[in-house]
Amino acid sequence: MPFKRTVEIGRVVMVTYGADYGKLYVISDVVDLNKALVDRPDEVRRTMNFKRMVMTDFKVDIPRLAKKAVLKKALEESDVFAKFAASTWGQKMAKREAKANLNDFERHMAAVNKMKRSAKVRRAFNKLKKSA
Amino acid sequence: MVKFLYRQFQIVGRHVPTEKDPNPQIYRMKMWARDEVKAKSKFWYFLRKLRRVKKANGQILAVNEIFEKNPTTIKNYGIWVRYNSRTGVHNAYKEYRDTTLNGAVEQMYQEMGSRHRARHSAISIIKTATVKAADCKRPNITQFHDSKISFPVPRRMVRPSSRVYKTTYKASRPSAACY
Repeated sequence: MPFKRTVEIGRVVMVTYGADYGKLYVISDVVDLNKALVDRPDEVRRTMNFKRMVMTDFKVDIPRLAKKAVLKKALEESDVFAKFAASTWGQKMAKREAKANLNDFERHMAAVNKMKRSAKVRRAFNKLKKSA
Repeated sequence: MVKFLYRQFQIVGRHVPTEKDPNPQIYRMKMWARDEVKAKSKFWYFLRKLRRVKKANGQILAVNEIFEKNPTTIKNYGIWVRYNSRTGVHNAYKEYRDTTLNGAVEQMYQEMGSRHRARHSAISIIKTATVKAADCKRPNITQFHDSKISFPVPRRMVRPSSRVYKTTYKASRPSAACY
């Protein structure tokens, strides 16, 4: 089956290693088979190795080495960052981040709620098992 | 900012003024070296080959580091090198794609070391230039001259997001699939 998430100018990528983990960038140009020039509206354009990033499904229509204003406009019009956050992948990332940022009370409540839920499920399952 | 291994320096120097020659010829060279000290040393090495002057009877007038003007655009660099192999001296022309000239020079030293086992001391840079895409000769450089470039990254390297999460054993098999 052909590859869909290709490296191309305008492809939205997510960083999977290092200090910028989880951030979305846009490929502005390809240096060579290992590196690309990535860009974000609030950061200076820089090179990044493909090993540090993963391609997403999203792509914006920008020219090669697009200026910041052009990039910003394209991102706002297509609303790609918001679309990513609404996608399953984006939601999973958000859940992971929320879980990592829980405070002690929230973690306690999460455990309590999990126990309550599993107790209900188990009760219903056992009832069904008995009647079967 | 990326820390460059090889930095570019501009070194200007001349023979000390004497009675016979109160205004000696001033020479300017661009060197790549790890630091200023090595750059100055190489400057005298090359200048000795050009005229009868050595560090003891010469003076350095200026040492400036040269920084990249546009480190956010990709350029094609052509580097002309002279290097010593085990059996002789050769000239080579190499092309690199990079955002900065210092980065391209670093690539050159790495490549010369790997392909020809030429160490830093055996390499002299004759000339460097930014080459227009149309004038590039090497196919591994010209293959990236495509405004509609598109290629997949077929296999994903599975690694933890930080070295903190690195463990010898993992609970489940990683999936390196990429589509």
